[in-house]
Amino acid sequence: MSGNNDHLSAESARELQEIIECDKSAAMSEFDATVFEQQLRRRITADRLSRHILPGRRLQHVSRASGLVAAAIVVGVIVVVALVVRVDPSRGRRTDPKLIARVLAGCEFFGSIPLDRQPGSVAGESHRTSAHDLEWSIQALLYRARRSSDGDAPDKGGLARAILAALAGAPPEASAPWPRVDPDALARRIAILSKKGAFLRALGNMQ
Amino acid sequence: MPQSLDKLLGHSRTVFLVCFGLTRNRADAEDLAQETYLRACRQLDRIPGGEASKAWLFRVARNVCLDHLRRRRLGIFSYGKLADQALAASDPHEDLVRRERNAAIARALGRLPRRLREVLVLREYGELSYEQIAQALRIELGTVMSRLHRARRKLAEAVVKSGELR
Repeated sequence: MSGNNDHLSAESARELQEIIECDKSAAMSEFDATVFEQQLRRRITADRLSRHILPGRRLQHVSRASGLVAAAIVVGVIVVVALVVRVDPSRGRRTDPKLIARVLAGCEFFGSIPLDRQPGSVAGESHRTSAHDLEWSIQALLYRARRSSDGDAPDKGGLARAILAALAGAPPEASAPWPRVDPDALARRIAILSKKGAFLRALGNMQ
Repeated sequence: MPQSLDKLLGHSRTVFLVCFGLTRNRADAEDLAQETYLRACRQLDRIPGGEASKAWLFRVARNVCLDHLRRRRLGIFSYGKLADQALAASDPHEDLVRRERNAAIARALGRLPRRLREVLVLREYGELSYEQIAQALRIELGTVMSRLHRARRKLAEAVVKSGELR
């Protein structure tokens, strides 16, 4: 045991230390620091994105009344969007990933965002993350968007890659040119698109 | 991931162990350790520089665990089963002895008052210095030493009663 152990014999202190070490070893036997860090990175990315997209956490900081009003408005908008999507006769049951790229390429917000914008100019923070994290983040966005929908679940991996390709500036038919794309610039685009609701709108157009 | 957080990730094992020491549940401990870093990430501007950052991180971990225990209205530890399979000894007798010892330490820790328990866990599982414990818990250095002394004595008494210590 670390430190002094008054009133404990040296033998008892040593045995107690052994017991504690054994307890720690048992607890650590299945702990993998690498896996822990990977999971943490994903949670942090998702946490940041959810703070951009959903007002839930921000509502904690405003008054209860304001929160209720905001929640009512959000619910109203969701109901209207759901109704519009439901009555749209052109709504398909399957989603073509290439269609997402075309929709995003023609998206007003997407087109107006230059890739070379300086870090920190948008949303007050830069998003340093890997290509893998970006793809995962888009999947998280799609999951959130789909959660309220009753449509068939599309291939989220395919959709994420198609969106990523479009965000990277690739033609709709091409695959994403990852090595030539600045992850920071991509992350800024995702943040802007998320904040302005362009993802949700693009998904709505798609269906 | 921000650089300051990257640095704190070097303590992930001990943060996990502190969460385990306070909750006695490995699955909960891993989740709470993640929650600790997530909270730290949301307060990047409040992370102190230098050595103080470690004490700050463990203060967050301790608060996360206390919140968790409060939410579950435990007040005391839940003695979650230790998944000992990974450490299973080849000798069944040795395996049994180890399991009994782990259970004894879990019970003994669970009987310690919260204030003594958190000091002991930060010292033994978190491997914090007395000064860091004082910073993490915002108490005097002398208080840390006296609580630690009492915690060790009570822990030893409890383990002796269980028959695991002579």
